[in-house]
Amino acid sequence: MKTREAGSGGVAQTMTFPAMATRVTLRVVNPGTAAGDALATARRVFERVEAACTRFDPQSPLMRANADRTAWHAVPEECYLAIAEAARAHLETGGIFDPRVLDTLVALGYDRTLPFRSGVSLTGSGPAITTRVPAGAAPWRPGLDPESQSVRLGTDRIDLGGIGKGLAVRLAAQALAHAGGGHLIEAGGDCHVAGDGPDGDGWQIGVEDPTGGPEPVTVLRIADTGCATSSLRVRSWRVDGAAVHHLIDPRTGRSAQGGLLSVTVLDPDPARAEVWSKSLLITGRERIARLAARHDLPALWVDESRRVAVSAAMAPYVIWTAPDAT
Amino acid sequence: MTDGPGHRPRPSTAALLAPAAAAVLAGSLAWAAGHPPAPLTKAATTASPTPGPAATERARQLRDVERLRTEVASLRAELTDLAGTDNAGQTGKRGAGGTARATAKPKPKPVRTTPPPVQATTGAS
Repeated sequence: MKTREAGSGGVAQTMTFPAMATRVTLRVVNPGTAAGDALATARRVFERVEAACTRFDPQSPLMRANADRTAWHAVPEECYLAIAEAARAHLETGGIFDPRVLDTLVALGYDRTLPFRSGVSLTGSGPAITTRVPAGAAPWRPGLDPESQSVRLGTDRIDLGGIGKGLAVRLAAQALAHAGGGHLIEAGGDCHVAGDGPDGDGWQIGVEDPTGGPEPVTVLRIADTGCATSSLRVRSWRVDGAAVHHLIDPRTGRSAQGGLLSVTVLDPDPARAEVWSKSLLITGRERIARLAARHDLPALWVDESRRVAVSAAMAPYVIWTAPDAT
Repeated sequence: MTDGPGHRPRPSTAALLAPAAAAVLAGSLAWAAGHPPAPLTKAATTASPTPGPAATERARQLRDVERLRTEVASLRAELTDLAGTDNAGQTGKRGAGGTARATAKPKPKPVRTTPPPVQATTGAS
């Protein structure tokens, strides 16, 4: 844990650690006396959510529930919250967000941590892809018993990867709420900011160039909100020569092909921001503006031509956009 | 058709807005000229240790310059639009025989090519 000067007359206490297949940074501005404990608590939140919701450990609570989907399973609070949040998101998005994609991802070869950044090319998975899809499935209604924190998943195995991280950011933000004058949580595509930022006028967050450019395509100035980006930049690979990625369109059972490279959404709840960034990307370029407007979502998207567009609700937060991306 | 007695022609919206915009423009440019922006480094685009007071003040000045530039560009664009609207309206009133003023050419907006400093990035994980 490090303590550094932070902006005008203040200091920041920072903690960085690996979790959930990314690097997590927690920063408290003008930390109070309990900041160290709060940061440690926030770190444990990530560790607990990862342990409860990982699909890469067959003994995790999620995978035990996945293994016997018709039985009720008492699960840790973090796993219960993630499944309940996924069920709520499935309803809110009209089924665009659907966690029943685990078998599709496995069929695509994503059954283990893959070295995406150095390139992945798999063979022999082709025929299975079309036989393990949730396309056209009935709406997902898992059994949820809040009193015993038990779940019954139903017919299909589920993946909680994205929403688990959003939930972890939400819970970590709660842990840091009174740790100091404000905080920043950065966990890959998901983040949360509180307070007025190190300079007193908000936090400036760069939206990564999904084509891999070194500079952001847009800079946002935000305060007291969550922020999530879904992007095809890293978790993309090839199967039998065909390009695929991890964001599965439940309408087709295949990697979404909507002409978008990334979508960023702001919401006070980081888990909801995560849900909508993924759902809007799956929705695709043709319908994203209408869907974002219908739900009054601050959303920003980058299409395959690297053009940036924003919803009306996002416009007030944009302070800069790359001249060659407009 | 002529105006009745006592009826004074209304000044155009552009005419009303122009002096205020010009004042803001002049003030902004003068201030910006006295506060040249420093070059930004690539390191500023990633999550990084928080800056010291001097760097913070410089960052604040840069943001002020950027905000003023955006404001000036917005006012220029608004003036251009209003001038076009007024011209179109006057052309319509004058009918086929009227002579419209030439529409002001929109001036290019000042564009900042490098991003302002950020405290974090959001993207692929």
